[in-house]
Amino acid sequence: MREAHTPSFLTRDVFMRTQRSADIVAGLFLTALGLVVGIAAWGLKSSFGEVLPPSALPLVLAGATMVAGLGLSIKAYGYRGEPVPVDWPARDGWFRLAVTFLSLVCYLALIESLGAALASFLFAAFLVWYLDGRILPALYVGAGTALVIEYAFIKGLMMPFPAAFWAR
Amino acid sequence: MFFSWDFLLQGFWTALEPANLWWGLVGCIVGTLVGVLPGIGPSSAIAILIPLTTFLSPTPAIIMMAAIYYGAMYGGSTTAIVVNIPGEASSVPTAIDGYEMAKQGRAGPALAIAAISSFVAGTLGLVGLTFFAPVLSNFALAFGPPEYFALMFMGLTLVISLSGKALLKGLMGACLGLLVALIGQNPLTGASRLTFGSSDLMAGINFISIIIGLFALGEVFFNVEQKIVAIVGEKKIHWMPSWADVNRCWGAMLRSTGVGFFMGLLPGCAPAVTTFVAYDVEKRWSKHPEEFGHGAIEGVAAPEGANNATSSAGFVPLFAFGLPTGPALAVLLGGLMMYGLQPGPMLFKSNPQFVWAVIASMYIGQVICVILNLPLVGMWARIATIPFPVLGPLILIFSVIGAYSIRFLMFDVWVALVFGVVGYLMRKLKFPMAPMVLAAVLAQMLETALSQSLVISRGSPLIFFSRPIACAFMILAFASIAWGIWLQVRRGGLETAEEESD
Repeated sequence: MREAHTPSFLTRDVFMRTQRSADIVAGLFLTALGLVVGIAAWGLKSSFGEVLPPSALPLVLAGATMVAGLGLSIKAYGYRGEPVPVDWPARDGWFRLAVTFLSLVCYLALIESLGAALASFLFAAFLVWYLDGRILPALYVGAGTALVIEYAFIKGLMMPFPAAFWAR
Repeated sequence: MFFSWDFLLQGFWTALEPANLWWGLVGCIVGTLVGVLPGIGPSSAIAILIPLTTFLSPTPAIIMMAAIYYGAMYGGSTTAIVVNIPGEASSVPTAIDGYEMAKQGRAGPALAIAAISSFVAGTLGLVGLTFFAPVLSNFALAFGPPEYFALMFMGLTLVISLSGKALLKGLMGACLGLLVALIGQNPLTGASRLTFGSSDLMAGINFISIIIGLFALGEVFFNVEQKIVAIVGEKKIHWMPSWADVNRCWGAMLRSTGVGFFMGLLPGCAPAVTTFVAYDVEKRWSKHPEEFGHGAIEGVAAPEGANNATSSAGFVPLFAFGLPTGPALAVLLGGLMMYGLQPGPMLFKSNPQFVWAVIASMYIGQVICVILNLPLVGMWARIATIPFPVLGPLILIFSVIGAYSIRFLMFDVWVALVFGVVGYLMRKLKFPMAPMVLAAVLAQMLETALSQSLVISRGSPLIFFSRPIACAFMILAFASIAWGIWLQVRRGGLETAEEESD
């Protein structure tokens, strides 16, 4: 029932604990995004005699996004029914998500210097070990992945994946 | 004279020669593999193989290339169903119910129905190609830019109205999809837009990266957070569909054949559009629309049928006018021209043996594809039983490979990562994803058609209402919007996308 008694934008609910507050925040964010896009599109130059200037569609879409965003916020703000919780993860869920995301970022950052095969081995081995907890299966999966990438994709299909820096 | 039984029988005789049969089989296998691998489409596979076919005579070479094209339509559903990675935009509607079925331990029936529906629609589409090519090709020529714009606009409104209770969210998703696709150079003038000074953004954002991010990465983030042990969990696993499943899908197969075939005759009307429309039609037609998005088997049969009917229909304008309806057929057209064959009305007169052999080979190819795919159903379905701590990282790696394979740019992979986060948030906040995907796919064609229409009409938007076909599509589009608004007002409450929109 917390939602019904906390209409202020400065309460904890604003931070998207319930569908209502999540919709208010998402609507405002998308309105702001529409505004930014609209400003960026406003300055686009068109050539003489163009029937559809390059800024036309972005401006229309930015306007539509702003209107829909505001509509979503207003509609959610006016909602007075039962609170619908957003299914955010618990602390350990956030931690697993963060580790997965950061390991993926590291993988992408390393893929060009270490090469696709080695970077994939490290990424697969680490993440399988982290999620599964066993080291041997993790190493097998990592090695298998690296072999498939090296022999099926790079050598077999001749796909130009990044090679390791020492092999260039 | 386009058709005669003699030509067709001669075509079968030629197509059944061992060499032609062999290269058709090779094409079907390569096509299926290409369809399964995310990011590698039939266009790139045909383009890669064209130089390798120079030692062949034209008939087996084109038979093989055509088999790669329609074979890829069979394979495309596999990763969409089993691990929620639609490697092509056309597989997105299949993933909606297919992946739900996989989570219920029914990946096998979903894959088998996808293969059966592909076979039925692909074959019926070939019947249309065989008997009605001249009449149907005139239908394709009746479409100009205003009709295309109206058709695509209608497709978008249908998908937005599919968002159910989340109409505003669907509209926002469509606007964002269109905006993202407009980033980069204007296709008509070359002027750069919304690049914010970034040279990477000048080349634009590829919609495959968006799809891979929204669906595959978003799904993995979602499952990791919830500590999912296996996609299937403890549920009983079904390997093949029951007769009840097959019977339930006949109507969907036939309707999707109609939708896919007639829309597939139009240049530019890619399977990505027809599959969404077929899914929408099926949901509206169904007596149990509430099951869509929760593992309705018709939700797999319809897009897969439309996909293959579209691929068969694409050969009508290709053979009749030399007009490719999509990138893969454009590459195939290049292959035909490399062999000195000029598609068009004269092709049927000057090279009837060749044309009818290719058409006959496609009938045989459909049988090969279904024989090839049905036994593999069990193998693919087993992927869903792999423990998620192992499968999750593998999905991430194959998503990276898929995104990188589009243009061999790391930028596309980073874009997929960004959309992975967007996909995760959209799931949490109950935003439908289908409007965003379709909008991103259609954006450039939509803008080009709009621009060309306005040039024709000297800037008057009334052109969309003064031509009968365009006007009919526009009326349907506005009716669809009105229907969505009416449903929204009637239901009230918060905007929560039903899962079918995902």
